[in-house]
Amino acid sequence: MELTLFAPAAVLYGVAAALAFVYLFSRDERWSLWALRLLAAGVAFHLASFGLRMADFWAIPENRWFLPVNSFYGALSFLALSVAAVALAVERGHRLGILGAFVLPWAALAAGGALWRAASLGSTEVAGLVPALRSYWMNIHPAVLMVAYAAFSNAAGVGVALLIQDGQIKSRRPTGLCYRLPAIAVLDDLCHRINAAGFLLLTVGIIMGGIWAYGAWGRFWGWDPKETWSLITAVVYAAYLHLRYVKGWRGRRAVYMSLAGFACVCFTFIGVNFLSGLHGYLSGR
Amino acid sequence: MRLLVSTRFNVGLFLFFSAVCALGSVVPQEPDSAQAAARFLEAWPRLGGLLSASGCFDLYHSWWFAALLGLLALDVALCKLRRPPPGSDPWEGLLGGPRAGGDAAALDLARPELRKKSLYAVCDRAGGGEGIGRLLEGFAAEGWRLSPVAEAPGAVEAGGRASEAPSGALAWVADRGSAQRWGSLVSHAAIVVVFAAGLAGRLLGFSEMIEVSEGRTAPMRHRPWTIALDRFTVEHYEKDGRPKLFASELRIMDGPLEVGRKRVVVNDPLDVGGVRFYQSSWGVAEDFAAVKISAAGEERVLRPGVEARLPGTRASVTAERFMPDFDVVDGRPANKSSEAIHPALRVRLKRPGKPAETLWVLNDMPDAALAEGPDGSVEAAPPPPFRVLGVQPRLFSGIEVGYDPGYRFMLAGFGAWVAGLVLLFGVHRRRVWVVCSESDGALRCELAGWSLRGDHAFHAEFDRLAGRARSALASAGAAVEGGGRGGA
Repeated sequence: MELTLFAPAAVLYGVAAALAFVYLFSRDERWSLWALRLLAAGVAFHLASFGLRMADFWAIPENRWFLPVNSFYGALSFLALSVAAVALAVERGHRLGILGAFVLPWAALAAGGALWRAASLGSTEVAGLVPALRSYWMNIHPAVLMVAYAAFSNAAGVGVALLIQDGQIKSRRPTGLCYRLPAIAVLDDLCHRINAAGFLLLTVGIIMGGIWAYGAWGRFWGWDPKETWSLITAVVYAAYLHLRYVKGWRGRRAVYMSLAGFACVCFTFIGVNFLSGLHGYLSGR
Repeated sequence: MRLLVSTRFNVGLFLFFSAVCALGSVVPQEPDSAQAAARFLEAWPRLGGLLSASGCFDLYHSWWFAALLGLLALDVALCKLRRPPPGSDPWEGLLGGPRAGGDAAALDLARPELRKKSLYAVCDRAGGGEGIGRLLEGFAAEGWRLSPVAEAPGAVEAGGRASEAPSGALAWVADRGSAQRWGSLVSHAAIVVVFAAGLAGRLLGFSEMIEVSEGRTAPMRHRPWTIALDRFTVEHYEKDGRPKLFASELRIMDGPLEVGRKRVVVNDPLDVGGVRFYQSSWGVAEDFAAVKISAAGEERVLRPGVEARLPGTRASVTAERFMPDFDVVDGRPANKSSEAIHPALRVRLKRPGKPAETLWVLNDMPDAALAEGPDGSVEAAPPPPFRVLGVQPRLFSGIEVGYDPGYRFMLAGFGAWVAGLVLLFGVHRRRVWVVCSESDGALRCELAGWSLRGDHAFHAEFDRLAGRARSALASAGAAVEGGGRGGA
């Protein structure tokens, strides 16, 4: 039943991303409007499926009151929901319309990944929490980090839009896309602000993880690959922020640094699963 | 010193640190992955040798990684010592670097700079300076902190003192979100506190892992205490067999005195005067409570070290030792893990007319046995005249004991770090300069804006402020001219 609601949500994210992409090359505002409507519908389906997942998850007494993000499917689904929700929030705040084409594919990718995971396992991975995960931090630490990842994915989308706009402006024959995309300064400011919010959340999430680890095992830091790559991600974004604040990096150069940070985010979320036992969704431990 | 505080060096250090951390995440780290490290060395002997010589198989505990962390902490501290938070320079954001000649001269320098700002507006009014007070009140009403540029002797206008430049201009600076400038200092200082707290924990604290079986006690190394495990509980999920709960009922004894007692579960340690006892792991100990055997159709229960007569014979048997995961390494018995994978029991068998034998009886191979010689080596032997029906092993609980005197400082550092970042990124620092001058009986006020986040982020608000300023002047008299880039 959960998948019956989640699959349409994933499809709606994909279609919304496609419509947003069409809007890039069209002057018809209806494409953007429909992309937003479908995104909102996708979020509604997703929330409903997440509600059902919670009900299944809480049917195991030991899991009650905890978020079902302890599996790879659960984490991907929550990430897709976070990306879509952050995209809706950014769109509501800035009404840029055009950014859907660069941001919504991340939501569609994450939701598609969750569907693939569920299909390959034949289940949505509802299992009892192991003792270490039964802590109130379970509801805060992963959720804060997922929202941080969602923010970084949105900033990466904005950064790609900036690179395209920069290329358009510098080219001798700018296309209609140049007039559809916001000004470089607008994109640059938005990219920086989302990254700064993401960096704050990432730092808070890492600190929460440290405090949780101290309560569970008596140490703040253990150099587990997930911890290590979260730190690497934070350090790369710290370098981005320093270059921007102190050296005045703007535009293309700043975006390259931001995208390097996003590559670290992707590795922290996906790649590290193959290295980490403690945080490994895919290691089965 | 100049190199250490340069942004280029800092960013380079960040990226080098990231690269080193990444290396440690892909190279197997001892002691947790000792076997993987050995396989790595075998597969790539030259590269492995190089990594081994540089301590990369235990990278995060190597001296040079500690030195790198120390350099990072030193660098953070030096940067903030060399670059204190922006002070009260009223021209920050407009004029850079140290200036000579006092505030009045600075104002003369600043006026042409104001006109270059993209956030710039001009309001003119005929008939003197009576409107300035209303203009300034508008800023104050919106929560702007307004201050005269300097305590220069000169004109007093609208209740506020302002500097008087040689050119006769009056200047104010209006600030909002000034607390933001402390964010960088607080967050960087917090990082140094976190490093120091970690170092204090490492140097003055301790950590030890103690494995104690149910019903037994184990001494601590760092305190004259013993840990008594009264009861250990482990439960599994029926669906997939994963652990659901493991809990230890602990008593901490200081000689005959009980200093602490608690049922310890994961995420809920026992705290005894700052020494914390964590439920860390569990497993099957090399110890047993009872063994059930059968001989001649009868069953017997053997207790550890207690000799028992075998039914139907004149032989006797004593169960001596238990291994949950038995193996033979270099011809001698060895236990490979704390999981009951190949359980085996060592018994002493006495038969009339024969010397006493020491046999290893394997649970999963009832028709085989290994005889242990006086030197500890084992060899194949005929099966014993009984069968092992089951062993009731003792479980051990892995208790991680830790004392960290830097704990509270660490938490304070974390709190300050987050507070600093909230100030740094959550507060929008912006500034408006208001410079008013009179000539030929007409008042001209110039407004220029600056925002830490860039002009784009402040554009709309500046436009609104400029509009209010014009209205303020207009309401005090007839505005003769308005406009400017910011207000366009």
